Amino acid sequence: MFRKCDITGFEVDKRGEALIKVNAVFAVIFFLVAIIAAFFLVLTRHPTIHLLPPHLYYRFLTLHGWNALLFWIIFFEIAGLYFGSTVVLNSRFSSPPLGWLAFFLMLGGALLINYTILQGKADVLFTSYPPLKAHWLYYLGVLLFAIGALLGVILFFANLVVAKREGKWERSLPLFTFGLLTAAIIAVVTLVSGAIIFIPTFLWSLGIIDKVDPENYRIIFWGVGHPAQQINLAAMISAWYLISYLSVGGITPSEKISRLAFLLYIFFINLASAHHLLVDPAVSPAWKVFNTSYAMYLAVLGSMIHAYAIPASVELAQRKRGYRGIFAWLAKAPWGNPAFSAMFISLVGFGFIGGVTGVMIGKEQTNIIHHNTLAVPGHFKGTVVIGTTLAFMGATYYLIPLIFRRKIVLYSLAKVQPWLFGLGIAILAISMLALGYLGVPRRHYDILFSNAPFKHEFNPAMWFFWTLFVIGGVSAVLGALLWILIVVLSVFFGPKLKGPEDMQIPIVLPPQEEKKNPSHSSILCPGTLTLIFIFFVWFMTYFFLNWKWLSATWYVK
Amino acid sequence: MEQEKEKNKKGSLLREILDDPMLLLFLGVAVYIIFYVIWGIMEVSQVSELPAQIKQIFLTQGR
Repeated sequence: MFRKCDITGFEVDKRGEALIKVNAVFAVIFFLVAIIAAFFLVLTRHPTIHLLPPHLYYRFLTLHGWNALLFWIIFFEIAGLYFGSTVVLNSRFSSPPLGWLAFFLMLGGALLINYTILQGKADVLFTSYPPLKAHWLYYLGVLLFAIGALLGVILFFANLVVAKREGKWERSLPLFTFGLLTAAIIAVVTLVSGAIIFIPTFLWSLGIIDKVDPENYRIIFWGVGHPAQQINLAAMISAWYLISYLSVGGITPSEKISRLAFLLYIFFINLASAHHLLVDPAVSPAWKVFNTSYAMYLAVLGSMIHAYAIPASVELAQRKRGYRGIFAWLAKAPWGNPAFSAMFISLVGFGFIGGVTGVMIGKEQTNIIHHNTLAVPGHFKGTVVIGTTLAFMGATYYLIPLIFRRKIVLYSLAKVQPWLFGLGIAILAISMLALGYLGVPRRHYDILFSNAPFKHEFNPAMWFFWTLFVIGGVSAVLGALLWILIVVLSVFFGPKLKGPEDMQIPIVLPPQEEKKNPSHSSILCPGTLTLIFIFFVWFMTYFFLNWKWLSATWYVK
Repeated sequence: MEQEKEKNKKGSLLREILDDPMLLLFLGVAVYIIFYVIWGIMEVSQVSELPAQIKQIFLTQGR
């Protein structure tokens, strides 16, 4: 039942390992679908290219939303949950048959959703707000996928219980598994909300009930739509801690504080879903402001803690190896290790683009200058794509040798891949944010309103950002396709890994003793503190710019 | 001394919470259900129905 990993020393339950592999492989397949759709969308959104006709644009947008935001991410996260609750704990998988049932339910649901979308029976976009109605098979697919994913999450909890009973962990879970526990708790919230809202919607599509109240739908839907992205957040941060540990032997300066940061997510991050309803008149300012401007800030505090703890973990480990100066630890970091570079680009991109814009969009006052503009999906690109997707790509460079037991094929290209994808997405996200600030609406096929009786004159600077948009989008698609090629070739055709000597990216143990570099400074991590200071300068600048732009929106006497 | 004991006690309560996955699950779901779902749905349910006459005006104008 178990094999002993000759690289990590972990006892690996082969039955759980098979489930990790199959979920990870299908995550990549759905990611490929998302990327193909993304390529067409990039070349359609540009007003003068308009590659697809309108009906196919909305169909591909729906397809991209489901495959990128849910299927790719949730399949990968289920693989991660199984990895964190069995391999990392040296424990067995609680019920492999149920694991397979969960997998086939998710797969069946995902295929049904993609089938109905491609058949043109569900052109309702990812949000599927009533009164837009899709074919009943679409809602059935959503329910099957949600039930399968919920079962997968329940199995994660069952694995923890089994591991505890069998003495594999006693008091505290390892930090990586604790981060995944946070993701699993958020997943329960997400999937229960999904069941609450998609069961009546399914019945409505069958004609069994007359209507679904659009406002109630919006509240509960955003209990699915947004927390689904918070599962990503917790899983992404867990991946950052894991990669820091594996690539440089990085350990957080304070495990207790890092756990407290995850606790803030568990309590408060789901409440931030309310920011999707900031312009809805049916809910009061009290509800909006409590859930966003109070609860959300506590969750942001959690992110700030992680944003310090993870680079600090790298800096501490590097300083113990004798790297002096403020940034020597960073300059001498293992940038040739694609897992490390993916992690660090993901961390910086998420903080500087995704995190900062999220705070401004999530705040009631400044939300109004972003609402329904292209800045909103620009923010997603800074969170789910440069953040979560790139972090998962980085983690894969360790999964290929450790779980699939294969060498990484095209390794020299793998070193370039995180940069190509990360920079491409950064350019794409920044251009979308700029276009949003210039008033370009999101989702709209034809922003120039061709043949319409009225016209809107955009600032001519828009065309510069549309060019950047295409450059960034195409670079990111190439980076993603390169990653998929490397993963497929490695997993299915790569040379088998014989032992630790075949590892192209080393697993670096935490340094034990500080090398003749006694810190004369009372500051633990001066380099990280400098980075945090630069981040705060950017945050404050962006904060004041947004208020400036808001003040210019309406002339107040 | 007593203050220190009190501090340790508080620390251990936090640790009890952090080390209990099922308690964390319960608390995470409860906070969300109370502050987001129940409060939000209560507010929406208090919105009065649009008077039929006004509704009719909108429907007629839409044609």
